[in-house]
Amino acid sequence: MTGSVLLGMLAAIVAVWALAALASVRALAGGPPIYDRLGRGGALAGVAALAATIAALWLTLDRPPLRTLGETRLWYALWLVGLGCLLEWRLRTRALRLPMLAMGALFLGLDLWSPAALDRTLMPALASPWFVPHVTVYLAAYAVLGLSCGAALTALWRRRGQPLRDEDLRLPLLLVHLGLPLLTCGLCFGALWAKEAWGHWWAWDPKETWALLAWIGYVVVIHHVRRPAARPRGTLLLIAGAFAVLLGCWYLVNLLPSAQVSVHTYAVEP
Amino acid sequence: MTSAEPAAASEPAPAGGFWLTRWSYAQATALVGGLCGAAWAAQAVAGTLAVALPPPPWNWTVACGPFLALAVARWLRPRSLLLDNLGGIPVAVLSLVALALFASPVAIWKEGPEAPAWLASLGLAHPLSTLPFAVALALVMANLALCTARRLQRREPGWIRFAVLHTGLLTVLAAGAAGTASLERARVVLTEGAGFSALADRGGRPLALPVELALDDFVLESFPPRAAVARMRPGGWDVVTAETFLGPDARVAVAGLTLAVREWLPGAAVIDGRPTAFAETGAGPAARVAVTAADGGALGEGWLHAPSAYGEPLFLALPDGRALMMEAPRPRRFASRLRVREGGVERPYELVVNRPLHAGGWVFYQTSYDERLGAASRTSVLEAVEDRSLPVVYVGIFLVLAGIAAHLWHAAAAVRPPERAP
Repeated sequence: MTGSVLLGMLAAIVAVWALAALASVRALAGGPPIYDRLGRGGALAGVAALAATIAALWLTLDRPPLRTLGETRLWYALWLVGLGCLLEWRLRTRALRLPMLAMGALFLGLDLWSPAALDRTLMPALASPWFVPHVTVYLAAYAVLGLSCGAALTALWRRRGQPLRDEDLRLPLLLVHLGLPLLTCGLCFGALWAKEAWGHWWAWDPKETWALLAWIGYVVVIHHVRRPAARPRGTLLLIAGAFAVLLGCWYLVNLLPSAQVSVHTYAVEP
Repeated sequence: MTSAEPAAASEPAPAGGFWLTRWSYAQATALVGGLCGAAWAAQAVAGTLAVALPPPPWNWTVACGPFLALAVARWLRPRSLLLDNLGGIPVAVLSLVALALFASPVAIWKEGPEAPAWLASLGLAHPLSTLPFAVALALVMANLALCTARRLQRREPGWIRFAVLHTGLLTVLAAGAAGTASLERARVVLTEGAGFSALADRGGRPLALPVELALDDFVLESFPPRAAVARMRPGGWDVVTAETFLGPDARVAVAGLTLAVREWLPGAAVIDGRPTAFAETGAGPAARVAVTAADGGALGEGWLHAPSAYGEPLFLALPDGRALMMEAPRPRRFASRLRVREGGVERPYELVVNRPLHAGGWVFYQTSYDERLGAASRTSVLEAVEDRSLPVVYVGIFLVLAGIAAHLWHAAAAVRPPERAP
């Protein structure tokens, strides 16, 4: 697989998901069932194609494609739409369809916007059995929590100007309760790996600190909502705010002054 | 994770004043904000005040004693409104927010001498050693101790997974705090053929380790080199690197060009601007390449060689102003082949990143080498760490993992369609 082939695959998947999103909009607006089936089928087809693309990339690079920001976006989109389809089926809801397709297409679109050359090298510090579990658990957590943010914003949009009900909170909170344990596992795996690699299980590296801030954000959410006086709108806004901090951990940290002293900043993409 | 208190209070809230009631965010903000604010004011005035735990064994007493005492007090006084409130959700939320606030400078700016002047003027040049950070951390730990004790006492639904998770969190925090006072770190520099050494550098002070190490050989394996095309622009260079490696008879595409390797020297030294085969460790490869444009037109031919210990770099100037060069081979793996002498017994050990050496109660990590020489480096730099709190930290981490797995299982069981009304 070459870089141009990869970009071609991503462009095709983005197109399929964009069409699936349009079909889903039609279905949600009361269109015939064929549109709903097209939307679901398009989402699944994109997931299958993306999984095959990642597998081909893994074979081409001869290393797990988890090193650069662009590579992590591929996994994020895969988990996002894959888990979104699974939850959609299990919960018998279409509330996740548009958020997952929109975010999945957006994150793959970022790879198209800022393509990076394929790089087969892997620095020695990443040659560890912890590399794959640590990063994939984190990306799965990001995906579930991204869906929670999407569900929260969707609820706020649909109920704009109207009072929110407790059932509007059910899906976003369920996703937070699924994503936070994954986030915690990622944090713990990182600590165990860091001890084996560097000798410090927690070094207050800027990336680690942002990860802790994001974790604290979601811990605040699940505790706040247990208060009888907690208002649904405030809780949904908290969920969105916590995801913003999580995006800071993923992206913003690479741009801050502290990035110069971090061992976690992603390889600079030409 | 479940809350520190059930969604519906089981006992009526006593009335009377701002404090003598079941606390909401108002009281928690006043408490947490007041304590942290006072600590911050003291920090800003004192400037260089740095909080540190006493040396062992008192570090464990300070890190664990107050919180164990709170838990016992909660057990003995189950109806104490104060302890109930201190272990409640509002204090949990506000203390976590305070902890995040005082840790956030580390996430954004550099610390120490390179911290922004305004941050230093607030006494936060070293945010993690400050009094407000310590106060916020203590409040979080106090809250954990109290809510866990309460949950153990009342055996409310989900109390086992709650207790396991929160005990794990408290254990990690306490052991981490205690560990800061007992952690020993030292730098060990070994040179090939210099014999056994037990000397280490602990921040400029010499330290004699209980283990002797000798470096027999430093090994560096690299990926093959890649070609790169560079174009100068105002303020720097734009560099495009090839996706495939250079090698004998390779054909590589980069930046619209095709490179065909005509001649390959696996190890080369550059003498008078020309590469010569040189089979010494650290001598990087050289490649004579023919460059053709996208339309098939020949653009030139010449030698490429990355900068190394054995000669200057060789590059090819292209007619369009770009330069074709060889990127320095990136390290794939580096290792120190050691002999370890401990208690009169000698053994070999190959020390690699992610596979540290455990000896004499210390753990040795491969950190770096003389990067100017690359594979020719005869120096290896290790870090020696003695962390007596580590076993307790690991217990805490595994309790957290067990508790969080239970919570994930519980949450996954709730992934089902909403119940329909009959």
